[in-house]
Amino acid sequence: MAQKAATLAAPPAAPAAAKAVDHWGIAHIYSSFNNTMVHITDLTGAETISRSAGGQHVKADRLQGTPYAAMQAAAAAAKVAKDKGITSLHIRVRAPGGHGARTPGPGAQAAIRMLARQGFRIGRIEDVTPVPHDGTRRPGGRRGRRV
Amino acid sequence: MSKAAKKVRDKWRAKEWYSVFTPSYFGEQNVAVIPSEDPKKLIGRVVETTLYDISGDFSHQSTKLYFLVVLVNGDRCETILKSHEYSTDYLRSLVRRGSTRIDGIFTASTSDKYLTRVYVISFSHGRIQGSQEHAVRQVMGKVVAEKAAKLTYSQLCHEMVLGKMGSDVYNEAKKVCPLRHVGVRKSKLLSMPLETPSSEPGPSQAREPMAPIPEAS
Repeated sequence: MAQKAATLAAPPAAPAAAKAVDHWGIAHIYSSFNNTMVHITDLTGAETISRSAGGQHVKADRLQGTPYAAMQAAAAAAKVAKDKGITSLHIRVRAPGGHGARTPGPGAQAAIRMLARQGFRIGRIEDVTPVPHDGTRRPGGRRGRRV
Repeated sequence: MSKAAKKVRDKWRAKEWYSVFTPSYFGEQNVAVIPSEDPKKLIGRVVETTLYDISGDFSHQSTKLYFLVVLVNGDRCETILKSHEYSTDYLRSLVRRGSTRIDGIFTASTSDKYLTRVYVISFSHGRIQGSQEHAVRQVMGKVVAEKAAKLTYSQLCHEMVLGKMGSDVYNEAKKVCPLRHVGVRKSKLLSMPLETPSSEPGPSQAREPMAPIPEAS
């Protein structure tokens, strides 16, 4: 869970301060087992720049969470963001979290790679999966989910 | 369909880019450029940066700073430090088995009436006794209260963020037991005086009830 990639990221510091031409955004990638959502916002998170999801790009429900769908979603979101003048992105990856899965789904990697391939400068990559400081009990009961 | 798409486009065109500047006690640097259709809507937004972005020092990469927009001058947004915290990765790397983690959470009012909450953390080398823990926590509380009473909010921010407060606590608390890390893990601005020094009573007053937002991440 501890995203070591955060330290690996390209240093965004000095140029960002020097030139205001660089328009940063944040790509919020929510990746569950069943779907991948890519939501690009400004640095405050208050303004949506573009968003897309895996389910918008494939016909079958079971394909929503696949890396292919994630790639399509990331590419679609990236295209709009580029038109609107975003040049660099911080990335926040999120798994369902809470009492659900803590590891991002199969689409997360693909979405990140696609964003990088679209020519954005990538800043920090962070894991923002919500982790409960002890919350509600995970569903399924004492003996687990019996299928 | 096409009509809707057109509408969205126009709305985006109406937006302008505003530069966000850190407060003077963090060097008035441009940390972000954000779009908005109306400058009024900028007030209350929070920009996250790392201390590394501001200082350029690699060792500062694990401190996150949150700046709250309080005032807009033309296309320039003035901010205050709303909160800061250690990054999750860094905090997790500090926590280790077999050594005690001592947390202290204190609410302190600075000399210029900013109410802040300060989260001090320290780690011992080995396991320590409960009484030592209590003693260390007491030292933390004493140092925080003393500092807050003496300093203004901007000075306090500096001490918390840059580790001065941590080292002061360390110097006191090491008499109790050996410690391997002491620092301010997190801080929050709970409320600020009604007339801010940046002299725009209107929005800052309106913002007053919004100040105690729980840790936006």
